[in-house]
Amino acid sequence: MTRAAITAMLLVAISSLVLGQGEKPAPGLELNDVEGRAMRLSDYKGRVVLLNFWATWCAPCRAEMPDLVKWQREYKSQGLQVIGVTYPPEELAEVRQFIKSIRVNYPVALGHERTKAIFDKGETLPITVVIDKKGMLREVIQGIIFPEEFEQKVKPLLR
Amino acid sequence: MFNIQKAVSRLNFAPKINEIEITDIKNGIGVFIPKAEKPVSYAALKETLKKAGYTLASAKITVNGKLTRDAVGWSLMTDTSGQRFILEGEGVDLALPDAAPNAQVEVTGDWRTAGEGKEIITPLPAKKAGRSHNEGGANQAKTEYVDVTSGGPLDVGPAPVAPIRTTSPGLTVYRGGAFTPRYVYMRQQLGGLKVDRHIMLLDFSYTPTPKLLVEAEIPVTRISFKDGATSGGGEGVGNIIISGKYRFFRRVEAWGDRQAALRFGLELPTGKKDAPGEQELQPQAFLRKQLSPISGGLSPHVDLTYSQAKGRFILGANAEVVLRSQRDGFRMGHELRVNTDLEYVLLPRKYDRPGGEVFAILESNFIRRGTGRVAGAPVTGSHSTEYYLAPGVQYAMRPRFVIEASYQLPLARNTGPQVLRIERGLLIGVRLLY
Repeated sequence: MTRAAITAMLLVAISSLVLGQGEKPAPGLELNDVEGRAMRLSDYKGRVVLLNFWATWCAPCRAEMPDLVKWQREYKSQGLQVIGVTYPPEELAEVRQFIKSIRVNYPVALGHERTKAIFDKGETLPITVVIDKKGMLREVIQGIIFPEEFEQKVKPLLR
Repeated sequence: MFNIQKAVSRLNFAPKINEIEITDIKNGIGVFIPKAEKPVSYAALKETLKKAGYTLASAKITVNGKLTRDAVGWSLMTDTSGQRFILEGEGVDLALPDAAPNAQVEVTGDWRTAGEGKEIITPLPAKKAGRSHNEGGANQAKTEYVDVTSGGPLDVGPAPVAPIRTTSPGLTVYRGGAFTPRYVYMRQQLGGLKVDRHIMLLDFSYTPTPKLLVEAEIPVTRISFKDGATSGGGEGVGNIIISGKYRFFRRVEAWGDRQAALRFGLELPTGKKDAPGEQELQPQAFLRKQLSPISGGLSPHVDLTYSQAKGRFILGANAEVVLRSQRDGFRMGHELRVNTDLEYVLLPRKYDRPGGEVFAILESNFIRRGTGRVAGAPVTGSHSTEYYLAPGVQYAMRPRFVIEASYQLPLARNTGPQVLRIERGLLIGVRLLY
C-alpha cells in the first residue's frame, strides 16, 4: 500500500514537471479493493472516471451514494465508471456491510489520508475527482455531488 | 460544514455559498440571508439538507413586510418577493400588540411549511432596550442574536441534525413605542455649596416607519441646596426635547447586527427659568442660574449613533453636539458629548425564550462645555471638561418590561470655578414597550 502511494505521488510530481500548470493527467493510482485485489486507475483509461472519496461515518457521503449507484447504472454504457475510495478511520467489515446494504455497483478501494491528499488537501468529505476518457484530471468536486453538478460537469464528458 | 453550505446554496432563494455561515459547528447551527426577491420555503430547505444527509431540526426566520388580515388571522406580505407568511401561535399577540392592516412590521419566529406554498411563522416577541445618563447617552435599538436551536454533532453517526436560522433583510427599529420613566439623582458640589438634583425623565418614543423613531422627553426636576448656614430648593419642569432618529445603516450578520443612526432634536424653551437661592446666592448669578431646571433656551441637538451586537457583546457609541441659545440672558456653554456603552449578556447562559435576560453595562460619558453666559455676557470660568464612568445592570424581566440601574462616578474633571461639579449620580429606570 505504501509503495503504491509513493508511486502515485512520484507520478504526480513527474507529470507536473512535464506538463506544467494546464490540464493535468490523472496520477497513476494503485490501491486494493475491499476484497484485497489490486486495482489501478490506469485500467480505466478510455472511461470517464468519478473517483469518489467517502467514509461510512460521513453522513453526506452516505447520502450521495444512492445517486452514484444510479448514475453508474444509467451511464455505464456511455463510458462512466465510478470508483469509491474510503477515507480512514474505517473498519473493513463496516465498509463491506455498508456497500452491500445499499447495493453499490462499482468498485470500492481502501484509501488513506495521503491518497485523498493527492487531489485535495482540505478536510471536506466527500470529494469527487472527475477524470475524462483521455485520462486527464478535469475537476475536483468538493462536498456532495448534486444532480445538477453531474449534469453540468460530468455528462458533457460522456458524449 | 461545507456540505451544509453547499446544500443550502442550491436553493434559488439562498445567497452565495460564502455568505452562508455556520455559527456553531458542534450543534450545526447556521445563518443566511435569503435573496430578497425570491420566495422562501422551509420544506425546500429541509429537503436539500436531507439530500445532503442532514436532518433539519428547526429554523427561525425574520421577515419584514406588511400585515394583512383575513378570516384565518394575520399574515405578513413581503414587499420584495410578494410572498405571504401566515402568522400563528400564542406569540402573535405579544409580537404585534397593536397590529393594524398594512402596518410595516418585522417578525421573527419559528418557521415551517404547511402545504404547497404555505409558509407559517410562529412569532417570538421582540425586545428593545436603551438607557443613558446625562439625558443624551447612547440610546440605540439593538438586535441580539442568541440562537435557541440545538442539535446533534455533524458528520458523526447516523442522521445528524442541522438546525438553520435564517434572517431576511429588514430595517425595522421596532414597531410600536415605548414609555420610559427614569429617575436620575445627582449630587453636585462647588466649594461649600452642595446641590442635590432629582430628575424624573419621562420619555415617549414611537416608530412611525421602519427606519424612523420619534421621541419626546419631559424632565421634571427638584433641586435642593445648602451652603453652610443657608439652604433652599425648588422644583419645576425642564426644557422638553423632541427629536427624530433616522437609521441610515444596518447590516445583519450571523449572530450580529450593526447599525447607525442620525438624530436631530430640538430643546424647547418650555422649562421653568426661575432658580432658587435668589437671596442667598445673589452675587453668583451664573451659579444661581445653574440651580434652575434649564440650561438655556431653544437648543438644537445633533447626534450620530452607532451600535454593534455580536454574540453576547453589545457595543454602542454616540457623539452629540448641543448648540445652546440664551434665555433671559442665560445659557450654559455649547456642548460636545461622546458616550460609549458596552454591554454583556450575563444571563441566561442558555437562551430558550425571550425574557429574563440580565445585561451587565459599562457606560462612559465625556462632556465638553464651552463658556456660558449670564445677563448676555460671557462668564469666565464657566467651561468644563468631564469624564464619567457608569457601571450598571439591566434586567429584561419580560420582553416588554425592562428595569435598569446604574451608578455614575467621575473619572476626570476639569471644571471652571463657576461650574457645579457632579460628585456622583444614580439612574433607576423602567422601560415599558407598547
